[in-house]
Amino acid sequence: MSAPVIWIVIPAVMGLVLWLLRRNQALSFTVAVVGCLLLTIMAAVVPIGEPVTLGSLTFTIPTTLPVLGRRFVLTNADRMMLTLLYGLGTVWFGLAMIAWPHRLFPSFGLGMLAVMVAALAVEPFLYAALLVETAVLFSVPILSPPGRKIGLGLQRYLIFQTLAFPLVLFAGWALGAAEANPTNVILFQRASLLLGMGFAFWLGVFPFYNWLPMMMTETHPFAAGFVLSLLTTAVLLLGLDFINSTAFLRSSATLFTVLRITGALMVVTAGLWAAFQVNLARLFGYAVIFETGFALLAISVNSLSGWLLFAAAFLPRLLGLLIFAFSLAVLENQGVPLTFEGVGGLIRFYPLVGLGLLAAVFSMGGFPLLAGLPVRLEIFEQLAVSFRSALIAAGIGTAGFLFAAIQLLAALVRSDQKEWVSMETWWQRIILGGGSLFLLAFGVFPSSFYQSILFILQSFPQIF
Amino acid sequence: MTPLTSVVSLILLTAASLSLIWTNKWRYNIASIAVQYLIVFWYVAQVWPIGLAAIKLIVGWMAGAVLGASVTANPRRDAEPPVISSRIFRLIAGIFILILALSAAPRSVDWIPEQPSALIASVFLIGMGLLNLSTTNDPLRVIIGLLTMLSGFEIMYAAVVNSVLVTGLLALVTLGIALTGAYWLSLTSSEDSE
Repeated sequence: MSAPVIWIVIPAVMGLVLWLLRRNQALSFTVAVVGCLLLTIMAAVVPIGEPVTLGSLTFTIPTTLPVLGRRFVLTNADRMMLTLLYGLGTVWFGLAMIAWPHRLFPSFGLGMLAVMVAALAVEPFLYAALLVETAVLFSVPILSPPGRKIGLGLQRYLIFQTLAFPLVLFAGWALGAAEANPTNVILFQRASLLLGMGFAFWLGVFPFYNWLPMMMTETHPFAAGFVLSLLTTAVLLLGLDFINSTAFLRSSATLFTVLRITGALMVVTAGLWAAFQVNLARLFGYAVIFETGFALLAISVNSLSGWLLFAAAFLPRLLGLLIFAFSLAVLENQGVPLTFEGVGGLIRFYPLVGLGLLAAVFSMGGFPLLAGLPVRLEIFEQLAVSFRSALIAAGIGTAGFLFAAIQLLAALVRSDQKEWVSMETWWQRIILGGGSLFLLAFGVFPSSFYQSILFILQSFPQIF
Repeated sequence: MTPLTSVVSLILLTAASLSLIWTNKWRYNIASIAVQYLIVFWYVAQVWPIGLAAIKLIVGWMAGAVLGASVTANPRRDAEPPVISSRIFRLIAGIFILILALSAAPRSVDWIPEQPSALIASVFLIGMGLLNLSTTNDPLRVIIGLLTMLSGFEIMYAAVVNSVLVTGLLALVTLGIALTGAYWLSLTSSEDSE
């Protein structure tokens, strides 16, 4: 059994089976969590393409699965990427049992995960565009489950994501033509332009991100949190794969300049809009844009330290988004309006939800002793060396985001009530308390947590 | 392709696409989608084996059938026709897109090695798809806009890539978009009935 069968075909089949079992929610969630956990553990401990000895049994997991003349390839270097993606699945499906136990979530979520891994594994990489679009289509029932209205944000999400894939497909063709004719620089420039546009639509890069805050107000925050966490993580990894595979992109100074400008614009606009935001769901949308902007800034440094920062930022970003989405989900499930007015004084009734919200938002803003700070500081240092204007933009954006966090703090604690009552369930308390502690531990002992995630860069050896 | 067949297919395509923005009657919309995919098949068959090109036609018609079957479950589908000023605005915008396609597409041969008439059809469809997407918030029309835009892209892409896997995945995406539309229509229908 090859690695693509284990990490793509089996989860895809599991997704299909879970769709058939969707009426039995407890069973389908349990199967999704256990399946993802097993795949995560296997990715972490079992080498791919190398002999594995299990007692008297010795076997090798092949790396390649040929399909219609093309190949899906997962090598030993991809194990950290698989661990990250299936680990993300394990945690989100596990927490969904408390935050959003919707019957369609395990099947379509697992389908999304499998297709995203397929997009990262397919060769030649131009086919990834079609697979990402398939994953986007899988995300639609998660974002608009029966009972919810289809809003403008959700429609725009589908439109923008669908606009991306023809551009990336054409870019793949143009890159192939350019590599066959390396003296023709114009072909490379066209390919880069198409690729850049495609990724801009996928990631919701400035100015194509207006759907993101809109969509957040139309969907359940936990569902949107899962889709946005998975989509941005996989697309960023895919972007890195494109840069890794194409010599022209690696050596293109223009690409990294464009990435720096768009990254800085995303950070500054998201930070400033967040500062004037009074809706928590929309604030989550701006947080996603803000984080993506910082990821682009880390890539734009185009040095070893920049790539390391890009990889290191995955864990605090994903943890921050998870805690933020979970906290919002608890409030949404209780019928609390997700506005600053709606959560006014709520910390006296939902202390751990308040703690989770504050820990997540302050961490994303780069507040001292929280998980986001070490990576933010390093990015600021890198930008200070050569790109001062980007540093100023990132500083303004961060200040705006921290202002939003302080406003949230003010809204949560403003109350005439004297007594404290905890209305969360025990599970919610454990998850939110544990998650907030994790965010603190990440910030206090950064090197202990960041070391492992850096191995994700093994999948992209050419970028160094 | 003779000049006459090029002109006839372009006229048919223009009529089908303009009718999509002129009327909200779902029967006419589905019929227009069917005509569009017939013309897409015609253009793709110029550069691909006919068997492979037929996939575009079959999948396009299946997408139309899926939407048609779902839309019948929604009794209020044709309840609110667009006002005449809105129709005229869309029609004028559509004519502008046609003029743009006629003037810009022949110059795009430098970018995409494709027959000029196919490029005109492709650019026109992409433009009409984007026009549909930008002037509506109705789920059915959003899906029709996406299908129109993608069918234009498929004519262009067929000239440069003729892989079986890409054809299969594009067919999957087209059907997936139609199924998404059907799903959205079923949600809208249940909202209306509440």
